[in-house]
Amino acid sequence: MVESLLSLNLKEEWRMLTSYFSSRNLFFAFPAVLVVIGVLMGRLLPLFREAFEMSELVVAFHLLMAVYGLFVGAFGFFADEVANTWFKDGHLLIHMHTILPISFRKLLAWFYIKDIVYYLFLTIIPLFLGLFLSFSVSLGVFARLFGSSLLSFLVGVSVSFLVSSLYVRSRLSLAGILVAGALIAGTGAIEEFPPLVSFVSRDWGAALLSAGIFIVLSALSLVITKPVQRARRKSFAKTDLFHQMNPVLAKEIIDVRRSGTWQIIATSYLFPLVFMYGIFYFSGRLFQFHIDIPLVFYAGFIGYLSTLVYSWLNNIDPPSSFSTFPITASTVIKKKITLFLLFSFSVATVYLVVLGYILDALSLVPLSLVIMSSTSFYVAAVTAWLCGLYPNTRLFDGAVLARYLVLILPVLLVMSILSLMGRSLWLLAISGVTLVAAVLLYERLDMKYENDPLG
Amino acid sequence: MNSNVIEVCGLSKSYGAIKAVQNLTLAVKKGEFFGFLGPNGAGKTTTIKMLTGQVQPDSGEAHVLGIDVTHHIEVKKAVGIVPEVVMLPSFLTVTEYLEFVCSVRQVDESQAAFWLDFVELNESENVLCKDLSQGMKQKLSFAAAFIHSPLLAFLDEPFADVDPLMQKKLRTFLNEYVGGGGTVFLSTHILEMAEKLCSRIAVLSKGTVLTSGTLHELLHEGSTLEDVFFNLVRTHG
Repeated sequence: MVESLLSLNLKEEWRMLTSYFSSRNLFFAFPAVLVVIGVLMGRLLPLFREAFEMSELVVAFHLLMAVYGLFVGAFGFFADEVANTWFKDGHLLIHMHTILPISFRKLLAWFYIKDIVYYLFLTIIPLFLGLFLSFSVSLGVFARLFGSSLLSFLVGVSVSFLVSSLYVRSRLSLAGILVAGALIAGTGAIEEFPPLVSFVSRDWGAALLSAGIFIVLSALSLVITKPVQRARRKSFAKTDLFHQMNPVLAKEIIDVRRSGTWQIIATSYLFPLVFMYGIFYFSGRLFQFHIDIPLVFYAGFIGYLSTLVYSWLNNIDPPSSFSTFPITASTVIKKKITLFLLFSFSVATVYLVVLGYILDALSLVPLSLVIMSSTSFYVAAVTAWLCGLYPNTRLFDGAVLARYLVLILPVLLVMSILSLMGRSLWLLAISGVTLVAAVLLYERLDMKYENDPLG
Repeated sequence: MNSNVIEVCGLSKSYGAIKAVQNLTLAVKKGEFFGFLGPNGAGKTTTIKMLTGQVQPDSGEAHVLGIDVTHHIEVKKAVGIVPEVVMLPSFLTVTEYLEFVCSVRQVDESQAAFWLDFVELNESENVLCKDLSQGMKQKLSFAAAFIHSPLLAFLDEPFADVDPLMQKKLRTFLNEYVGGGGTVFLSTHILEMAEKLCSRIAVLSKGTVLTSGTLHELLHEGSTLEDVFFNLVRTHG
């Protein structure tokens, strides 16, 4: 039974992951990229050491591994209907407690183990393989680093598991845990983080303690977890949008609002911008390469987030609900682009005005808006042209991805260089060209997708 | 004058190596209640999808209400469709969905109120489609298929999740609809239902029609449609 549940879970995950790729071989590109990132990290270590103490880097690396664990460890949500939403009403083994005489706890336990196995083999081991290939440290030190990093990850996973399980059961107890966590962090006890101590002090006791924390928190989470069925029939006041605009556009607007996707899209812009700001900040500290990033650069960058936002708009509701009506796929695509333009322009305009204020460059806001608008429209039109209503799957097709990169990257590079050089007129000219290209692609969507199936 | 509302000649469709429908030929007259029967995987749903412009045939010809089925928008404008797997927009409420359908089909909105009442979904009018039960979804899908008073309706297992009271109400409606000149193309596994409703029947297996005819022609003395169906599928399946 035990062996069977683990192997069935492993098979299910494997089949689900590989189904996202047009070829199984492409699936292995993901860990291969992580090996390359590991090699790059190892090669860049001497540069990092010029800016940071080795002890600082060790702390940062262990914390990063713990944060990674925190990000992927929210297994407690599987007890909530949230998980059912993610997996379209639940077609996974983990949901089988509803119809088979097996406890949710047992299913979740094996699901948890299976996921850790996958994270280990698909992300952590490839990364460390890359590091191993580029590091010049003794095998013993490397093995200790791997072990303590893995423990950091596992502790992060188990904390996240516990917090998410508590969140599902009781918001109040979660608040208590978070306050306690904040107090511990406030005392500066982070340097006493057991996996870190196990590496720095070669302390086997700390390693055992880390493993113990992982096991106890995981077990506690499994004890706490319990499937929760929330009231599903939520009522909504009738909207008047169908009288005001095209019904397909009205439906798309309602979808974005009621699904909460508008919040995801708004933050989709925020995180990359903060990330980019962070990269420039650290490159300044690492390479003493200080550069004032002009507002127009950020404007172009925002435009390149369009693929992400367009993809989110296609994730809300499958287009199959249109399949029995006299509606073409190209109409749906065009309405999604219209919604994208309405939504992204308003969100991106707010970001650019705020950034303009922070960077003391309000005079550049009008030019930035032109650049942002044209690149946003262009990137969205290219994505829609190449992928239709299925950007999340079709972009994994090597041929489509290659065409996408050929159409997008040169424009991105030219825009970035011109914005860093401050060539406003050239930027305006390129914006004009991309706008024309976007309109042409948009107009040709009918020709390409009129007969595309919606089911 | 040709009174056929559906004319199919040599229609075929494959999904990879699987031949879902092979060289299908049939005709359905105006005002017929046509039953399309067959075991699982016989090709019933694929046929309906081709005839309603949801899937393009690989070869052959088909006309629905005189419209070539490759002109999918024109076909969908003309007919009503209740799909086997009910697909409703998740985040619209019941009323909004019917208004959406009225708007797409350019039908007066009073029809939405009528059908909401007819399929008895008034109490759930402000509930999101994704939160409806399967039976409720099927009733809503039925309403959406008839809201524009089509001359021809394709129904793929329309009663599977509907309660007996509503089944009876829908059966009565369909009989009146056919009596008034409408045509129904019904795919169902419920043989008893087909026997009660259909004036003519075709039995499909492995993508080809095994037999077709009126109930009178198909049923031998003392036999039921179930007997005929079992014999045919056992012999040819």
